[in-house]
Amino acid sequence: MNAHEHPDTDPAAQPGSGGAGRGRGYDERLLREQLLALNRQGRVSNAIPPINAVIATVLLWGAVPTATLLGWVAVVWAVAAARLWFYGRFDRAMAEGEVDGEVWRKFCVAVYAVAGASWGVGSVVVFPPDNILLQAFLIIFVLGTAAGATASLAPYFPAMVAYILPLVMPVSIHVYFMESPSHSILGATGVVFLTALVLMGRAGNRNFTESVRLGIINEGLVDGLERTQRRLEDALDSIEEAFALFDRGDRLVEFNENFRTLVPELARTMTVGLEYDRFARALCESAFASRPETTVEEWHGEIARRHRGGEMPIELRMSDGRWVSLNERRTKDGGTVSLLSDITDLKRRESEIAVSEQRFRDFTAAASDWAWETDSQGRFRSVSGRYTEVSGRPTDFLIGRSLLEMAADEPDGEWRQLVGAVQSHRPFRNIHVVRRDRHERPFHFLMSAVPIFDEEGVFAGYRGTGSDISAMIAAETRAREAQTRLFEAIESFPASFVLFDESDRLILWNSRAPEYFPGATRLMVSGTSYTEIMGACARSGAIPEAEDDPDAWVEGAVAWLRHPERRREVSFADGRHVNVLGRRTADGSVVCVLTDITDIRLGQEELAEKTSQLQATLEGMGEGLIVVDRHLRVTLSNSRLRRLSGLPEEAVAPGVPFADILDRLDEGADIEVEGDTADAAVGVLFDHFGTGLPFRFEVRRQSGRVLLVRANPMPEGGWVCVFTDITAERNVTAALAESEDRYRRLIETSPDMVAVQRAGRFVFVNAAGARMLGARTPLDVVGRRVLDFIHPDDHDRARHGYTIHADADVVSFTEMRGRKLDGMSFDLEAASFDFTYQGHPATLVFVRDITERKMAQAQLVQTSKLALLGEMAASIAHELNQPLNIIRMAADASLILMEEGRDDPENHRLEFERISSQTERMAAIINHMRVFSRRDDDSGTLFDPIACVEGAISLVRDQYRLDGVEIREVLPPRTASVRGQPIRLEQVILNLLANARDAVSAPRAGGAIEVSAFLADEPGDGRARRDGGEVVIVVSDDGGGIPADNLHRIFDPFFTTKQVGKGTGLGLAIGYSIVTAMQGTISAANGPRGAVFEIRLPVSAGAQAGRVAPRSREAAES
Amino acid sequence: MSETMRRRILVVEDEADAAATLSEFLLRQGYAVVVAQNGNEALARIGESAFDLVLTDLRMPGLDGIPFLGALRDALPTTPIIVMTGHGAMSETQPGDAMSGIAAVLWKPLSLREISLKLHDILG
Repeated sequence: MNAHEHPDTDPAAQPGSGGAGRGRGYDERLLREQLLALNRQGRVSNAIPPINAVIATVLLWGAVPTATLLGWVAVVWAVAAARLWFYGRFDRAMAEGEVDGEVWRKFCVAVYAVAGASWGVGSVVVFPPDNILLQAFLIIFVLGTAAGATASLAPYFPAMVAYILPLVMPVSIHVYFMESPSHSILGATGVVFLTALVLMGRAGNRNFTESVRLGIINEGLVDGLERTQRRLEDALDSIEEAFALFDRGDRLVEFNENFRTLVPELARTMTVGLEYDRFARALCESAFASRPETTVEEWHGEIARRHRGGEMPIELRMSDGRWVSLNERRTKDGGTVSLLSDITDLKRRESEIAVSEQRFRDFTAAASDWAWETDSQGRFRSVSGRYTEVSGRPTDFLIGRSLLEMAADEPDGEWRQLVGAVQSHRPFRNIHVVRRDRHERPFHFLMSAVPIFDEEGVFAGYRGTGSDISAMIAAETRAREAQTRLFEAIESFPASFVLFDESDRLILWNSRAPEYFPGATRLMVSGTSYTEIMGACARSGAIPEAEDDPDAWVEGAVAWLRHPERRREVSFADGRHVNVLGRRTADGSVVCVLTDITDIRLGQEELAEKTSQLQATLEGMGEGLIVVDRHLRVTLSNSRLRRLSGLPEEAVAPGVPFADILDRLDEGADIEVEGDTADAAVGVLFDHFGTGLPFRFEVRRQSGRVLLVRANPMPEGGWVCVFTDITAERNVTAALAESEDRYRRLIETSPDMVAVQRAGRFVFVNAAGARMLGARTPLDVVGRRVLDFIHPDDHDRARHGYTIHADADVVSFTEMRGRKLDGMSFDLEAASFDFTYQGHPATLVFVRDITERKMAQAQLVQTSKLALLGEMAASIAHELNQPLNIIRMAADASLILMEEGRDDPENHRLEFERISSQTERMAAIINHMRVFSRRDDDSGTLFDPIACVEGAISLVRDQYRLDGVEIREVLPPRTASVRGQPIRLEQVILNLLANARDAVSAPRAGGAIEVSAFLADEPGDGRARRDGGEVVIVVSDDGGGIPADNLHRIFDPFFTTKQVGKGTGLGLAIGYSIVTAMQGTISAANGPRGAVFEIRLPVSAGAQAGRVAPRSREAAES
Repeated sequence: MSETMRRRILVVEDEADAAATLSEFLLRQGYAVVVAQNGNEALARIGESAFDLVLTDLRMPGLDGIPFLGALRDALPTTPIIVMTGHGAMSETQPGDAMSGIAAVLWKPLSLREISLKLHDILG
C-alpha cells in the first residue's frame, strides 16, 4: 500500500503533522483501506460457503427432503454470486476513482448480513434437529465458517458482525433449546464461541486500523525526509559561496554548484571522494595559472598548513584579477566545511575606504578650520596645525586644556550651550564661543564636534573642528551699524520708500510703505517678489482700475518696473492718489518712492471735468457762439464761430471788445437789424444791447455769406450771441438760376458743337452743332443716331476711342471724319466726357470742324517739302554732278581713242558700260526727287516704314559722308505695315536726319547719326495696347542734345534755332502733324550723347500676315 | 617710251569709277599713275615716292578741301597741282592764297581733252 498510488489522497492530512492523524482525510483513508481489505479478503472467503454447501449436501443427501436441500444450496450459491458481482463492481469503481465510501460501506454490511443469514437461517431449516451428529457437525461447520470470516472481515468490524451474528446465533439458539443436554451444551458452546469470535474480530479490527495509521505515518516520514534532503541541496546551491564538505578523512562528501561559476577550472576536478590535498592543489593551479610553478607550490603549502592548523581564512588573487577567500570550519564529527567566496567587491570597497580616509586627511589639512580631538574628559588630545596659523598660538596651548575649563573662564558666547552638549555627550554644531587674549581682545570661534565612542559604546571624547570668525564678526558689526543708520534715514523719509533687488524681490521698506500696498501688508517681508505684492494689491479690491482684469494690471505694473523712471500714478478705492517714482540703481535694484498726491489730483480733476464739460457743450453746438460780459467783452467763444466768421482766434479771444468783432464783420458787409437800414448798423446794435431785451440781426458779408445773429441777455448781465449761417437758405435758389443761365448761354453761343448723347443718340445739340451737321435747327438732329453723322470708316473710333476721363489733366481730341445730313464728308475732332444729364448717365461731346485746318495743314506740309527740296538742291546738284563727270570722262576717253585711231573694242565697251551705269544712277536720283515733290492724295496706303527709313538714308548717306557725318543704321530683319503716305514719313525722317547732321557737323567734325528701328509688342507709354504692336523708329545723334528750355517747344511751328534762312522752323511741326495723322507719336528727348527722336507708329491690324510689302525702296515708292 | 622717262601723276579721287576712267586714260597717254582715294592716302603716297604732278578732287571723305591743299602744298612745294571740282563757288568763297601754287582748276564734268592739254602744257 503506497500513498503515492492514490491521487485522491491529501498529503497535507498525512500524519507528518504529529502522531494524531485524525483528520477527515485520515477517516476517508481508513475507510478506503478497510473497504479495500474487505474486497480483497472477502473474495477468498466467499469461496468457502458454496464449497461448504456442497459438502453439506453430500452429508444430508437422503436425510432431508431433496427439494429443500437443493433450494438452500441454490440460495447460498446465489448469494456467493451476488458477492462476486459486488467485488467486480467495487474494482471498477476503484479503477475509475468514483468510490463513494459511505455507500459502499452500507452496501457491504447488507451483503454480509444476507450472506450470514443465508447460512444461519438455512441451516436451521435444513439440518434435521434430532440428529445430534448432524447438529454437531452443523455447529462446528458454522463456527469454522464464522472463524474464517472473522479473520477475513476483521478490517471492517460492522461487516464482520453483520455476517457472523445471523450465521451463528440462530443455529446456536436453535440447538440450545432442543431439550437434550448434548444439544444445549452444543448451543451454549456456539454462543460462547460466537462471543469469543466477536471479541477477536474487534481486536483484529483495531490492529488493522493501527496498521493503516502507521502505514500513513511512515509514508509521510519518508516523503518529508526526501523533501528535507532536496531543501538542503537547494540551500547549498543557493548560497553565494562555493561549498564543500570533507569528512574526517579529508575526502569530499558534498559540494554545491557554485564551484562551477566561481572557479570553472575546479568544477571538473570536483567529485565525491576527492582528497582535500588534491582539492587545494587544483585550487592553487587555477588561481595562479599564469604564475610560476613555485608560486603554486608555495600557496598550496600555505593552504595545507592553515587547513591543518585551522588558521583560515586565506585570500587568493585569481589570475583574472578577482579576489576569493577560502574559509573553513571543523564539523562536530571531525569533517571540514570549506567555503570559497568572491570578495572582489569587498576588496574594492576596502581600497576605496583607504582612499577616502586619505582624502579626509587631505581635507583636514587644507581646510581653513582646524580640527581637534578631546578625550572623554573634554581635554584636547590633538589639534591640527591650522590652529597655529589661525590663532597664532602653538597647538601646545590647547593640548591638555579642557573645554569645560575654558567655558568656566568665559562668561560670553554660547559656552553654556557647549558645556551642556559636552556633559550629555551630544554632538554640537557651530557653537559660537568667544575667547579673549591678554589685552581682552575678543576672538570668535565656531565649534562643531561629534562624540566618539569606543567599541563597547563608552564615550571616548569629541572629534571636531573650530573656525576663527573674528574678522567676520567685526565686519558684521560694522555692517549692522551702517544698516541701522540707513534704516533711520529711510524711516525719516516723508514718503513711502520701497527697495526691490535685481530679481525684483523686496529687500527694504520703511514703516509708511505698507499703507501704500493695500492687501499686501502681510506680504511686506524680505524676499517677497514684486509680482506677488502687485498681485495681492490687484486682488484686494483697493485699486479700482485693477478690478476688471487684475492680471493685466499686474502685467502693466511689472512692465513699469522694467522702466521705473516713467512716472506712474495709482488711484485707490478709498480716494487716495499715489504718485510712484522709481529709479534703477547701478546694481540693478529698484528704489520706489510713493507719494500721496490725493489733494492735487482731486483739484485737477474737478477743474478739468468742468472745463471739458463746458468746452464740449460749446464745441458740440452747430452754431457759432460768443458770450460777452456786461461790458460787452468776450468771455467765451467756440470754434464754430471762428469758422463762420472767418476771424482768427485772437480776434475772438476773451477780453476782446464785442464792438471790435462787429467792426471786423462789418468790413464790406451789410448789417440788417430786424428791418432797420444797414447804415450806422453798429451803433444801432449797441442801442439794442442797451435795452436788455433779446434781438436778432443779419450780417450779409461781401463773400455772400449771410449770418443770422441772435442776442439773448443773461440774468447776471452780459449777452449770449448765437451765429447761424443762413447763406444757403438765402442764396440757393438765386445761385441755381444764375448758374444754369450762365452755362446755357455759354453752350448756346459756343462756336463749337456741344452735344449730349445717351445710348448712342443725341439728346441735346447746340446751335453751332446743328449748323455743323448741316441742319437748320438742333431739333433736326436731336433723337438721331450719333453714328449717322460719322464716316463709316471711323465708327469704331467713335464708339471707343475718344472718351476722356473726367479728371484727366489734358484733354486730347480725336480726329475723325464726319458726315453731314446731306452726306457730305468733313473732318472733325471730338472729345467726350461721361457725366450726368437730367439725372441719367450720359456723354457730353465737344466737336470742332477742322476741315479748313486740315487743308491749311496739307498746304503747309507741301510748302515745307518744297523748302526741304530747296535746301537739298545743292547736294542734289553734287549728287548728279558725280555721275555726269564720269559719263563725260568715259565718253571723252572713247572719243579720244577713236580719234587716235586706236580702235580698241574692249576699251569702248568698258567706257559705254560706265556711261550706262552712271545714267542709271542719275535716273534713280531724279526719280526719287520726283516722287518726293509729288503731292500725295489723302488716302493712306499700307507700306513698310522700315523700307521708308532705308530710302531716306540712301538719299543722303553719300552726301553726309562727304560732310564727315556717318549714318549708322540698326534695322530689324522683320518688316511690318503701317497705314499712311510713305513719302510723308520719308519727309519726316529726312528732316530728322538733316537736323541731326546740322547738330553733329557744326561744332566737331566726325559726328555720327544712328537710325534704329524695331517692332515693339508693347506700347512705350501707358496707353492702351494696340493690336499688332508698334514700329519704333529712333534717330539719335551725338551732337550734344537739345537745350532743356527748348525741349518742350521743339515741335511748335516756326520754332527754330538755326540761322535766318537756314531753317523754316516748320520741319518738326510738320513732322508732328504727319506722324499724328498716322495715329502715331513723335517725341524728343536728350540721350547720353545727344538728341533722341522717337517715332512710334501703330502696326496696321491684319496687315502683317498677308499684305506685308516686300522690303525695298521700290515698294516704298510705289 | 621707256619706263624711266614716264612722268608720274598722283590722282586723288574718292569716286572709284571716276578714278578708273581717268587713270586708264592717263596710262594710255603715257603717264605713270598712282590713285589715292582721299587726302590722307595721298599724303602717304607722296611720302613713298616722287610725283611730277598731282590731280586732285576737292570734296572727299576724310582730309579734303582747303586743309588738304595746304598739306599738299607743304609736302610738295614745287610740284604742280591741278584741282578738279564740282563746287562752283570755290573760287568765290576761298581766299586767294589758298589757291596760290594751284596750276589749274578744272570743273566737273571734266573734259579729258582739256586735262590732256593742261598736262601737256604743264609737263611739256
